[in-house]
Amino acid sequence: MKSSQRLAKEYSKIQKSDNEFNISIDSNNILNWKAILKGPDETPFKNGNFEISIKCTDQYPMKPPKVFFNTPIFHPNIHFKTGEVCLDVLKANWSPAWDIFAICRAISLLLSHPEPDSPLNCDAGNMLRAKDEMAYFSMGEMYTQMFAIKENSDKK
Amino acid sequence: MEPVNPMLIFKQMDEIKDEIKSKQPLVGSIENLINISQEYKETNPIFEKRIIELSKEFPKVQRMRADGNCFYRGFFYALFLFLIQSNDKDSLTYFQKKFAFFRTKLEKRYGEFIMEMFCDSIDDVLLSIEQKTLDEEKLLDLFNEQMTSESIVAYARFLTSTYISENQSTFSFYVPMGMTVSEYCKQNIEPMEQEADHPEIFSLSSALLDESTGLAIQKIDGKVNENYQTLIFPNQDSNPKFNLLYRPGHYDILFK
Repeated sequence: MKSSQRLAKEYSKIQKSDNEFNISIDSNNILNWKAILKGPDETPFKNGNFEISIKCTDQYPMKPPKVFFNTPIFHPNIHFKTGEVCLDVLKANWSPAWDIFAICRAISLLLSHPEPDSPLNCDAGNMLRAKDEMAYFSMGEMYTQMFAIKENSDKK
Repeated sequence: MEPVNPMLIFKQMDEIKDEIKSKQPLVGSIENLINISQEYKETNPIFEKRIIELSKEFPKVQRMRADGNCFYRGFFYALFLFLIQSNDKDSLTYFQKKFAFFRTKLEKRYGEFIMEMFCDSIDDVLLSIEQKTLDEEKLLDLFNEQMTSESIVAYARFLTSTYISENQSTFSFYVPMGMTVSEYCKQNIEPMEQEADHPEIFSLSSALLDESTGLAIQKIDGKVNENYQTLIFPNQDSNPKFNLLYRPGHYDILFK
């Protein structure tokens, strides 16, 4: 089975579900996916909608896809400028038992469970390591407001 | 201490892997074991001597790519080769039943949809062995085809992980302190490129093999005992039908 066949199956399965992450595929390239993650309650990302892109290669699911945040986010394990995500299951702990839906769930979980000891955003990491929750929340909420809530308020 | 940028470490690891990839096929052609002994001539005369000794019983070797999957890939390649060469209907039926049994188990554990491509890759090989459309040459081609080869390795990993999880009392001894069996499987067995060690070998052999079809590992290490050491799986009384060579951190297939 090729990557594209496997991904086509995944997509048709997602379409039959409630598709909680609003997952969509690039109509020109089945290897490229997008999803919208809702900022979990009790995080600085609450009420935000964060778009991520998931780029698979022809070696999927043997090799993990690359995941980027298109919406800027202030989180220790997500690069503020490039949107790169540092998550063990997308690197050394990746296993072919994972699928795109499970990735979305894992990243959603990362939003409420940051790992400040392996930071891609040192400022966010340092705030958490110094246990300065107030600073972490106010910075995070500010950026959520700036980048992740804008679209919604425009519509209303 | 400032934390190290984790992306930099991953990048360096990828570069090392790419270098190995460019130099070695997933499964090599059969060659003389003596070739390997010569590689140790300058660096490790004890290994050289032991491999020369081993080559008297096993003159040929087939090398696996050193990518952390060598045990799993070698195990399945050697098993399929045994089924092709022995042309033994009973053995084939035995393994078809085993794999059908595990297909149901794996589908239950990981989801039918996730397991499909991995279980299919095994069933396809068994079917073409049954129909006699797969010979040694085609098996080698198949195992050098990236996606098929990796699917078979992934299958081997899921089977190993499932067997260990179902026999926790036997294996909990091997799991490092502070780690659950489930965490161990998720970090050390299921991810590709994680090397197999004794518990993984014991688990995969116990899942698939029995007294009449065993696996022998000819082990070469730097320990003081004079020669190579023979370990037989799933237990010492099993009748080995295929042989692997173990050198620290690596497995290849041996032939008489």
